[in-house]
Amino acid sequence: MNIDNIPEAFSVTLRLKIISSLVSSSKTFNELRETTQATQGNLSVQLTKLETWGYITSSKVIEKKRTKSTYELTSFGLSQFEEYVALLQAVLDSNMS
Amino acid sequence: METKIYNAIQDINTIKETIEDTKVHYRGMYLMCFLLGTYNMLRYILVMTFMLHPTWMVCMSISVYLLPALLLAGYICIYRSEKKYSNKYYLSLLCIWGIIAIAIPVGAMLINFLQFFLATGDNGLGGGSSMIYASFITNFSGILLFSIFMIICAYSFSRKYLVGWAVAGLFGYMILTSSFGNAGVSFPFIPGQPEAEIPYHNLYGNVVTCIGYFVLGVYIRHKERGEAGDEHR
Repeated sequence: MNIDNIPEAFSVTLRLKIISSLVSSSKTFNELRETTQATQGNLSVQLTKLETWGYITSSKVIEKKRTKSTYELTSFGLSQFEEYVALLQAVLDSNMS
Repeated sequence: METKIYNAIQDINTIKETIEDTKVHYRGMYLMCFLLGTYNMLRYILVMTFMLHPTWMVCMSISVYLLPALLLAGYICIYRSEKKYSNKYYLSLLCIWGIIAIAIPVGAMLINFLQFFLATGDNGLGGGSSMIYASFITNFSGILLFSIFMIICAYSFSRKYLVGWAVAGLFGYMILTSSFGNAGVSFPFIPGQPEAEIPYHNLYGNVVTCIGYFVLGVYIRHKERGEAGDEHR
């Protein structure tokens, strides 16, 4: 990963927010909506993309007769995120020196 | 290059803010438990000392005036140290519950203070029946607050059995108050009152609000460390 070739997952702020939210623990759709303040449709589209690219996984459980989707960061997603943070750090460090 | 640096800073800020928003902090919660546990224990020790040595008015003065002021100062310190975390839900919880928990003793202190200086010249400690009533109200509000805090913890940690403990704690106090009234454990150490008793509900209330907060504080601390460990794995 380099600064001229940033993965699409990190090129949109909402996707970056979703990934950052999932670093500490898995989240439900509603929790992600509260954290990101995104609309239902937009969040749903970005979650589908991230899942397609292998950054996150989703699971559905039925709770009180309603389907609840939970999202979790995959190990690939976490390693890519760590790599991206290291890259950002390197960009800032090179500017400081 | 400047655009890249600007974007990098923006992204780092987004990451930092989002992680802070989603991170759960329990530090303030267990510090509040330890603070209230210590406050209740010191207050109880001072009140008991005053009962054993009625001439030591300083014990009652510290218990009525100084301890609530220290409690308020402790709460402000905890809140300020936790304010750097931007998790608004956590801060609102700490703020709402904390204000109620602190407002009761601080409010009582102000009333005593005003009574002493403005109205009756009374020392604010009250007479026999008002003292018993005040003790009942203090104990009940203390247990009620403790139970509310336990229920908050039950939902925060998804441990529903804590709701049961909270309800049992409150119910136990009500049963003791209604069944035994002012009956209690014999306490023949008060000068001039060889048949004095400490009511069961009073003893129970003090045990719950002193030891209970410490136990809950240790539990929350243990929980936080456990979750931090899970995150690192």
